[in-house]
Amino acid sequence: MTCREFDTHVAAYAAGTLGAAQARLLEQHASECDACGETLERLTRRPDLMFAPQVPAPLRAATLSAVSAARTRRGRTRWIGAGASLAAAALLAIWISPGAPTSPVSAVVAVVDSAPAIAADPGALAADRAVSEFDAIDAAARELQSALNAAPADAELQAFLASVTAQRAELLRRVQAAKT
Amino acid sequence: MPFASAAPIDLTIRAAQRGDEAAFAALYDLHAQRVYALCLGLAGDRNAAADLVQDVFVRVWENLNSFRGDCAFSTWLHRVALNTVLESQRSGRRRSLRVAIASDLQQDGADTRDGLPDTPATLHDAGLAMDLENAILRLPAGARAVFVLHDVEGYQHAEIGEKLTIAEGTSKAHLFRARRLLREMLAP
Repeated sequence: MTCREFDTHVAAYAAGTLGAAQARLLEQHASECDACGETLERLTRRPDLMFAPQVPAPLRAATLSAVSAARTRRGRTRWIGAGASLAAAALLAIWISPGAPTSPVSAVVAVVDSAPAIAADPGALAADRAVSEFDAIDAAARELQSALNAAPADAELQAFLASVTAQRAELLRRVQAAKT
Repeated sequence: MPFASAAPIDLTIRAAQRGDEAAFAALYDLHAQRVYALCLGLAGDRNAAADLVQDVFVRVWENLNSFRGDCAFSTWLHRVALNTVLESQRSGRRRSLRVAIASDLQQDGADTRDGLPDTPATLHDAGLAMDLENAILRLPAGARAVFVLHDVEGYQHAEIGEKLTIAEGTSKAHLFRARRLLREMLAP
């Protein structure tokens, strides 16, 4: 379709009376010609139309329930994460001692796997333990950094070092709080 | 204590970020309508839209702490909603929107009322009050998606093309077709 033909038919199109085949040709032309496209868009726009479907009433409870379930799952994850933090500290006792596993990752995995049991101790982060835990995790961070220097592309090591570094910062905060 | 629904939005958001379920419910109340409209418009099915709304708000809750106030909360939430819907479509959990978009413009059948998909009754049945919502739901998937994103949500053709991975011209063609079909369906 040419621009002239478009001009001829566009009024019928806007009125909804143009035949389907001609309408498709007109739409095709409008999609390829900016000027005619703008004309068509202006003529066919219906700003008065509002699309505001009514939300089904039961959806609210269902959605908030789904969110609550996700929240529970996440809470469990966080709890295990706290255990992993302590496990990282505990790891040092194993890892930097004679006969410790040679792979930092395998040692980490082994200890983190035991995290829930460690996390079950509600007093694990008591102030009087903060200093020793900080020392342990500080050593862990240094050891992990050393291992990472030898294998800088090791994504698992990178991720774990980031985690341990964050935990180290948190323990440092606790140590400082305990001293004041 | 129930969260005061009249609380300023930023306080509501911060409370929800701290885990206040009542505050999150208040956010749902504020935004559910628009999210549902987006989901329904793109999915074209009320049950699928309800599923998607739940997916959207679960994702919103999971990522709530990543909202830093760099943009309006409604903008951020809407972006999450659109991404959730499009990812759902791409994942194949529901009908592939992209396939539908491609096939819509290639169909040989004329755009007569008989050609509209899943039409349970002709639009001019006596006594049938065809409202816009039902008309939109009867649009072909591609036309519907582009119409909702462009005319309801305000996206430009270039943005729609990017999000739906179609050419800008294809987006325009879908929009024109959607408007024509709606006009026909809503004609007295």
